[in-house]
Amino acid sequence: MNILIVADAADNRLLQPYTELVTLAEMLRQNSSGRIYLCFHGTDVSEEAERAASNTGCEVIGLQSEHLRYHNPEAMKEIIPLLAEEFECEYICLPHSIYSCQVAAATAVRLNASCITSVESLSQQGQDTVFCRSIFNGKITVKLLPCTGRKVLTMLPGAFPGHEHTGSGGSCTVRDIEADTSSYSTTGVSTQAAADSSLDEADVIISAGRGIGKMENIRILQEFARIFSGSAIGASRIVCDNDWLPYSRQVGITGKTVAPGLYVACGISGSQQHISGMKGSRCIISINIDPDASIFSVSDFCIVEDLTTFIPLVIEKYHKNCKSDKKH
Amino acid sequence: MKILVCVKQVPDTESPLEINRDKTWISETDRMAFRMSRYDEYALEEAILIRESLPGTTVDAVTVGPARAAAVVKKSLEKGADNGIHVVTDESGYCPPAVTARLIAEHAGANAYDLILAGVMSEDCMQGLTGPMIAALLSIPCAASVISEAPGPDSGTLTVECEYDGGSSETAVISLPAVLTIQSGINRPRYPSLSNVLRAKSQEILTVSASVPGNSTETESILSIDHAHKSQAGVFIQGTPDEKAEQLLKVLHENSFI
Repeated sequence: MNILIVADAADNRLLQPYTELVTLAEMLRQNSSGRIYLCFHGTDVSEEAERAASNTGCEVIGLQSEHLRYHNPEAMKEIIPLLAEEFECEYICLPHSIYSCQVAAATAVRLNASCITSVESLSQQGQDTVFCRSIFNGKITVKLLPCTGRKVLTMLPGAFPGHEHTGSGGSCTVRDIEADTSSYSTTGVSTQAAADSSLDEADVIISAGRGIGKMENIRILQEFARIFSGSAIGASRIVCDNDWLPYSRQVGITGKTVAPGLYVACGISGSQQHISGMKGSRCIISINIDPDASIFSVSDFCIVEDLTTFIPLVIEKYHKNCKSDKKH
Repeated sequence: MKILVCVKQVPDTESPLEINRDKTWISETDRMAFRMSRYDEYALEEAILIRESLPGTTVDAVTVGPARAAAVVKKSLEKGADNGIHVVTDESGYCPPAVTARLIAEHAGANAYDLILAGVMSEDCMQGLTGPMIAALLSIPCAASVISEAPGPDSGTLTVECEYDGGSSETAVISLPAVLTIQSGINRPRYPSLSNVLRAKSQEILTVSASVPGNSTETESILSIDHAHKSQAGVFIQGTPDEKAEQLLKVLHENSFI
């Protein structure tokens, strides 16, 4: 039973979480003697392909073309299904990302395969491998059973450990690909716009979610942030979509990943997208009026309250306690 | 230009969620509220903005879902869509993206759209697959997570900016016909206008019963669902708001944050 990993790459270098994909592939292969193939794209891939072969032990295939300098989902939609068929792969595994989901979707359609995204874990159901993912903003987990011969999966980054390869190196080949950019051509890439470095440097992040209700309530969090030194204000995506805070404040998969000493999530429900951007924080305190909010499952301290009344209460008590301390 | 917008009806995530008896989906209680998936609202608004800038453009809204899903087609008309289509399914539970995509592609293929818009993912299942699958079924290109679009350098093309993870973005030129999946924040969805609400009241929605071409076998099925495992590690601070506030300050002080 063979497996094809489609790793993401940029500037002829593999991007993480490719080693986690190798772990996933090994789990899927279990004890069978199937091969694990790992492919990635670029313009000049031989050096990276060799490096990958030796540090993963996989059969590495470097896909090379002038037209694969940047993401070229249209080209990959043609290439990947053909590779999966050529190497008789039962599983095609990609990292979970917006770009890879496009490739996964098209591959599944072309191969008439099942497609399950953002896989968090596997389990066995008799002979079958079953895949677990989250829905409804992380409140519900679902076990999905593929019903097709081939399966396409995207793996949630961070859900599986990185693979530490100790055996001998795998093989590597470079294939020159016929790709074109007639229907889709990437003309430029830009990394995160001059983002607020204050989020990176902050020891304490007070983060606003939809629960703040309106832009005017941001000042409650700003006042709260002032009782800490080295603090900054963060936000979930929806707060930025509503123009309550700029996107440079966004914490989450499409924003910044932060790991401060303290993260206080205020009115944030806790979607996978947001949690993945802050779960590395040393201490997480969450305040939300919904006792079932998913954010509580990653929090050290949970407070079920309406932040618009609770936080001012905390601020008031803090200042009162400070005054009475001074008297002593 | 002929635009098709794909909209999905989802349970309001703020409603409490209960799991049905055989644990195959959430149970639809009377208390459950439904609305249009947030990302699809942005897609619909973008279609209407294109129509406003390009005379002669029409915007059709399509949904795949049970009888109650007609409400989001109606809502689309109220927000300004020209025509509404409801592909009615029997299932009120989980519908795999592959099935939804096939049903929409079937309609789209018969109606020669120049542009198909959909939200980048649905708010309930968050797979991000339906839009790209529609594109693959129609053999047209797809741009995902679009945060801005404009006419491209040549006629019959669009220049799109796609927002990827980690805050990076890519600019691309895509040829029409194409599918664009739309990311939130691309625009500010408008409220229904009185004239559109009145029009929607009497306007007919084209209702089609689902017939998946070829064999309609699902590609994957739900084995079971469950409430997310609540981590044991977190402590729920208890008491009156006053007591909780005191306790919180104590925790912050003990951990040297204040």
